Amino acid sequence: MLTRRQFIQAGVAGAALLGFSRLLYGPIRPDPVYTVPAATQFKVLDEASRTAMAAIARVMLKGALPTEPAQLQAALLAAVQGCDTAIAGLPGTVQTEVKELLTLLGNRLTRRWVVGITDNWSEASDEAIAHFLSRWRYSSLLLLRSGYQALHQIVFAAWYGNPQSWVGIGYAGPPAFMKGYWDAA
Amino acid sequence: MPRDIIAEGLASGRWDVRDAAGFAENLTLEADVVIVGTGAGGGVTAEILAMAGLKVVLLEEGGLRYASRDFKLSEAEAYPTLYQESAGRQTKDKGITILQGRTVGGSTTVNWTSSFRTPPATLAHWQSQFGLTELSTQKMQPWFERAEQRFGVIDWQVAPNVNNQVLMNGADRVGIHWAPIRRNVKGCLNLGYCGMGCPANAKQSMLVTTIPSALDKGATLLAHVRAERVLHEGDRATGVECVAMDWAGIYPTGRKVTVKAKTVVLSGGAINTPALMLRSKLPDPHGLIGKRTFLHPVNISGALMPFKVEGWNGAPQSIYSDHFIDQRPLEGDMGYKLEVPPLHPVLTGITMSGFGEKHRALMGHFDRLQVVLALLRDGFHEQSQGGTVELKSDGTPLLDYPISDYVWRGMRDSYLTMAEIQFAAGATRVMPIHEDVAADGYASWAEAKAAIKNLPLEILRAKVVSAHVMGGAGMAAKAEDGVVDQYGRFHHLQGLYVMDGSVFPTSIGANPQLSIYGLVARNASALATTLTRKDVVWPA
Repeated sequence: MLTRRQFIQAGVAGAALLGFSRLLYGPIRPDPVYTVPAATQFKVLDEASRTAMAAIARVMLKGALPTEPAQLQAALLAAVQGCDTAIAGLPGTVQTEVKELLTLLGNRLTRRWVVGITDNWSEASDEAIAHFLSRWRYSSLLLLRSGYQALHQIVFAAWYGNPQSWVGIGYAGPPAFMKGYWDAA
Repeated sequence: MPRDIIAEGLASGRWDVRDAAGFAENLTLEADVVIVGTGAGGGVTAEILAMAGLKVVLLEEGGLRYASRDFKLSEAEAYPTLYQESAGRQTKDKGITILQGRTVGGSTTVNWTSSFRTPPATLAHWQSQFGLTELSTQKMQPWFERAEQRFGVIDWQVAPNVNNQVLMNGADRVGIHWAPIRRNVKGCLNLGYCGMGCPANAKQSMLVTTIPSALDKGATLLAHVRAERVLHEGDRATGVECVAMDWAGIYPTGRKVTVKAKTVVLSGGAINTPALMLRSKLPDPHGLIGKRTFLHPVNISGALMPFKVEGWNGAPQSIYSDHFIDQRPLEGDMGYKLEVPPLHPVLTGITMSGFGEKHRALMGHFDRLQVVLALLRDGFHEQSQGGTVELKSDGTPLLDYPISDYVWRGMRDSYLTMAEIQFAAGATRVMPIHEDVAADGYASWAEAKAAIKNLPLEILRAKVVSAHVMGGAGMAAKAEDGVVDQYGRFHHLQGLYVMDGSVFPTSIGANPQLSIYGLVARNASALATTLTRKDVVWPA
């Protein structure tokens, strides 16, 4: 298994390679275009959805993400990849619902009028995104509440499923002696 | 050195186990009995019918995992591979998230080992309301005893972990009942990762007991097959038609699997069994298939303790309280059982409400977090009729489970109870898991009491989950009251049986695995006698 340091280094290199920073730091118009090497091919998330998920994850995971810019980008890339994996593991009908949600987030018109984010996701402020999340969280419309819950579930499952995220929560991972136990088999 | 009973069995060359994900062609098999599902119901049925000398084919939608070396104690691996819908199965309005197994061994492979006999009050209710006269506590006792013997149900001698101790101490101080939970384990290492599959073969799930035993006796196991419909001609069931699924169990590969058999046993668990019956367009003159599906809806209360809890360590469930089951009559205010869940990063991260720095502040105290849950006993009151299984456009199941005001009242009561217990046990903060409760919750029992009384209770604000699916093909003596009779025989076709938790006409009011084992052992033994005219002594 990669150490935390190796993970961050690999992530930094990967992020630089991808130009992932453009997801976070604008202004670039239109929304960032970049090619993804085969090894990190996304299964479900298209470019617009990746941009939206990165922005949402950045706000949902505030406090958990590293603050140093390169580390932050690497961690966010890992989080968005984790979201992609999580969504790809859902049954077809549920994936369709999640993709509809992502389309609604990504589409310029619905982003502005339903989500309430005026800027591109790559340029939207933390405050604007947090406001959108809170509005959906406490909405009187079940559909919006379920949209918030879906994003919450996907982002936190992706984040806390990654052993790198366990630093700082007092959890050391599964007992180390199990490794010897399996190797003995 | 751990023995891996699955790896050994496969290596022996004596087992007929096939993974349909790799099938290049369609497959047709013939058998005496085809069993859909390999969980608590399918496993027990397979072993008993194989003991009777019958040729059994077992069908499983999920994959076959090696019993120890495939279980890596990783949530990110376990949930997509071992659970229905990546452990995120939801009711129609998305108000309840359901944990249900989907792997060889079904939910028994991933459950938390809590073993309770069916409560006498529940059996008495079934007798009086559904005419299930044969299912008295006295007549069921030997079946529970046999199941306990087969699956190593023991009084757990190890001290409860801190998470469970808080429930015990809090209940003591509040002055309500608590007791230790019996567990089905042999040689348990007290790891705390039961929900990700037991890496030590200690949990006596179907994966390491009845299924290897049935395979030793000549049964065939097909993994990654989804049963699409029960075949029937005239008044007889004649087999099951299935589709092969890909390795991830998400998409059909296009290959078909057909098993022809004079006896068809449905053991896909509640939700999946009624859905299969609906897809098969079985006769249903009273419109009962899929109705009265129960969940033991669960609400949750978190607490920060002034000491380390480390809720991921140790047997997940070892203490329970039945005070609010025993004190409340079945037809009165909703009864609830109190237990604790294991705490792991993903399940905790997605369960705790809120986001950003507040969510992180709570996760920063993950090692001091303690959680109590309340399982609500649904299906006994006129305002608790459970949910209805429907089919999505692609034929997969969808459970519509509206939460009535009566059920919400039960949840408000249980939020109060849980908070009182947690403060009594020394909690510095208590946070009912609800979007309207601040991430750091309440500072005192007085504050919690006042606030919980005013919490708006509605879906997607209060967090509601379930780990127990029951009903949807309920038993009743008369065809107008239930889908099957008290031996699991479908009322409207010959040769079709339901052997799983979907036959329960109400919820159980306790973790259901032992109720399924006992009832199915009884009914499968009767079926073996019917088919072979010989009695099987189970366990051998």
